[in-house]
Amino acid sequence: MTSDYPDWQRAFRIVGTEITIPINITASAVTIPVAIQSSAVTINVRFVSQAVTLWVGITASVITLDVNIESQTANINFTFADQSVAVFDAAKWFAHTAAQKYIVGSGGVPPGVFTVLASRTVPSGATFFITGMSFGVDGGSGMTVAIADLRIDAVSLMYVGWLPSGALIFDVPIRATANQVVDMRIKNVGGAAGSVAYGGFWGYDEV
Amino acid sequence: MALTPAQRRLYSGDYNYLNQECQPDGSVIVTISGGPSGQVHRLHVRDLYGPDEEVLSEEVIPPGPPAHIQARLDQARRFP
Repeated sequence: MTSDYPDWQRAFRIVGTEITIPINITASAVTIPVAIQSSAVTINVRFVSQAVTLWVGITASVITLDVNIESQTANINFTFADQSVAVFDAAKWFAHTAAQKYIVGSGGVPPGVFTVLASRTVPSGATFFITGMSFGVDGGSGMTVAIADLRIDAVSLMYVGWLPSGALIFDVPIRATANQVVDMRIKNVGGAAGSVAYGGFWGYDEV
Repeated sequence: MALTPAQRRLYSGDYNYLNQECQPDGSVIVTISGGPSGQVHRLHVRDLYGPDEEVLSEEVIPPGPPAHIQARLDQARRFP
């Protein structure tokens, strides 16, 4: 039988020079539900100390960490006041963890046709996010324009053309999945048969 | 046909930097560097990515700076 405690309150106040509150739970399955239903909820967690360590370690074969916010108005503030704090976007983070990929190539580009300069097959188990491409041509080639063509599985994604060189940074990374072939071709327009071009693309692997 | 060590890196993605220099005869000189192995592989390949891909030659280039530069770096670390 449940009872209603309209003004229920229980305060825990512990004062001491050294306080340790261990909570050890050992079981085959642990469930700790915290359900709060109220017209207004305020939860303040405030640490005041010369040194604060708040460690959250999650180790599992499968992890789902969901944060769902539903509100007419939501204000999310992160304030960092430390020179050693860094927040990375995905591209920079994957470079930070040495997962960056730079694929470049060079070679002769006969006039009038596209020639593959750089190519990569995405390894099994990886997704390749392409964040930029660049190319350049030999200055004495006589080309009137060089057209670069970035492709996935022989399907053209974009054409860009100018002289003598250029680079594009993609606002939205291009996603290539495992076993897909990414390549970049160059078309020599108006140049000599011995024209040489250079180019490539880059991004990062998410495994 | 069994893959060479450099081919295994090429197809497993064990690298950060991949350079492909197309040669006039259609072959390609591929240089692979970066990644967990820390090695630099250079291989000369015929029919790269094609059905008859063949490694004509393959070498491991010692990573790091030339010996005389490495000696200066070591010396600088010892006497800051």
